[in-house]
Amino acid sequence: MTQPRSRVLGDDRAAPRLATRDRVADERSSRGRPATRARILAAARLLFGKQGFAATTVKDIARECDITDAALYYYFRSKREILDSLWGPLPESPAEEPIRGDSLDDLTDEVLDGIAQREALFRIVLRQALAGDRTALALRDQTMAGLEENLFRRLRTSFGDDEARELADSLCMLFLGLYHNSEIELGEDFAAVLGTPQFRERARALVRTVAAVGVDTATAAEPCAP
Amino acid sequence: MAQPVRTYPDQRTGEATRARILAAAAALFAEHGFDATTVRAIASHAGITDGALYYHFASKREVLNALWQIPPRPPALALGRLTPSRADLIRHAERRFNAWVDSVGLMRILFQQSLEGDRLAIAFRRSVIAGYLDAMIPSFAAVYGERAPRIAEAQLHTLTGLVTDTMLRYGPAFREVAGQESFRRRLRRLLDRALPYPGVLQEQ
Repeated sequence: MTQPRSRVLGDDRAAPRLATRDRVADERSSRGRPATRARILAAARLLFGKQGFAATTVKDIARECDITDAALYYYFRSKREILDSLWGPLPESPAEEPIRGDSLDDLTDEVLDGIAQREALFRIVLRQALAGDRTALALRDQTMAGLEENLFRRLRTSFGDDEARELADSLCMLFLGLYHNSEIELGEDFAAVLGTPQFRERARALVRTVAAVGVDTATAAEPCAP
Repeated sequence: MAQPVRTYPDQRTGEATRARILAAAAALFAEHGFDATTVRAIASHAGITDGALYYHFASKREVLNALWQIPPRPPALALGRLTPSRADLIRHAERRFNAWVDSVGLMRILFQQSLEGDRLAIAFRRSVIAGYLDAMIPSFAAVYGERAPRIAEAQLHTLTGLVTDTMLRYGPAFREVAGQESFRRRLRRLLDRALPYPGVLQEQ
């Protein structure tokens, strides 16, 4: 099954790795069967997302993918090393397409698709970042910077540079707030609700409110002054 | 061994100690998280023994729960005019934001605990959000009519995004950063953006 790619939040497959930690070439990173390695990572992603990093044991992860913990240690030195292997995707360069009317809605959908695709990973990163984990904090900052830069590049094709810069900042904060508020409010249902037409429509309306497409600055100087 | 005689401090001292414990806990939970903070650390931060802390709270969990029972601030006073100006609406939201900055330590634990699925924290967070919307929607309604809830929501998310982003990016320096002129300019710009011009809305 192939998932839709998100140009705005980037794509795991083509992404470079985050280099905040020394990644000394380790024979472990290439040994064993790739399928087992992938299974361990999938199980860890699931468990870290569900119960948090601290509360998940190596034994839990091994059990989830039907191997012994000794077998798991053949692939990864520690729980922390599994977490580090989960991280790394950075946003890729976006296509430069003009944003107008409906395409602002498309942009909203792209951002939400990007969040939906990596929701479990974001949840882990956020929890670790709140716990003061520097790698997670750096990854979060880079993801935000990547989102803002991509929004800017898309928006500047329709708005001037200054306007696009401000709008990108506004939309970034709006998406971030919408994401956190919805994630907390919906809990485990968040990922499912994110894809519903109702949620999409609400998000599009919010984005249109902030982007105020079609603003006529000449007549809109101070229209609601008493 | 003889049981220590439990003395009952008079009510005023008791309340003051309780408040000190809550303040210490809020600071430590915000800095180190709930799990990494010990009862002993809270007690010593509050200048009392852990025995004295247990007189007020049965457990660390109970201290945390008590934090969410502090009633959220009363709703901001209604704006003084029937039809507020744009600048009024922006100032109104800015004052709300300032109150969040003042309690950023509490906001951080609230965020952390809510993400962990802590029901009390989620309920408290919900009441803070409801309080915000209750304070903003009537002011918006005078200008934007039935679109007021949508606009208040856009503003709420924008401010939530700004608070969490700044909190994670700057950690303990949050207040300092939030006081800087460049940050205030950005805040006003974001608030201005989240507030469409009425003429534009009618076209949509």
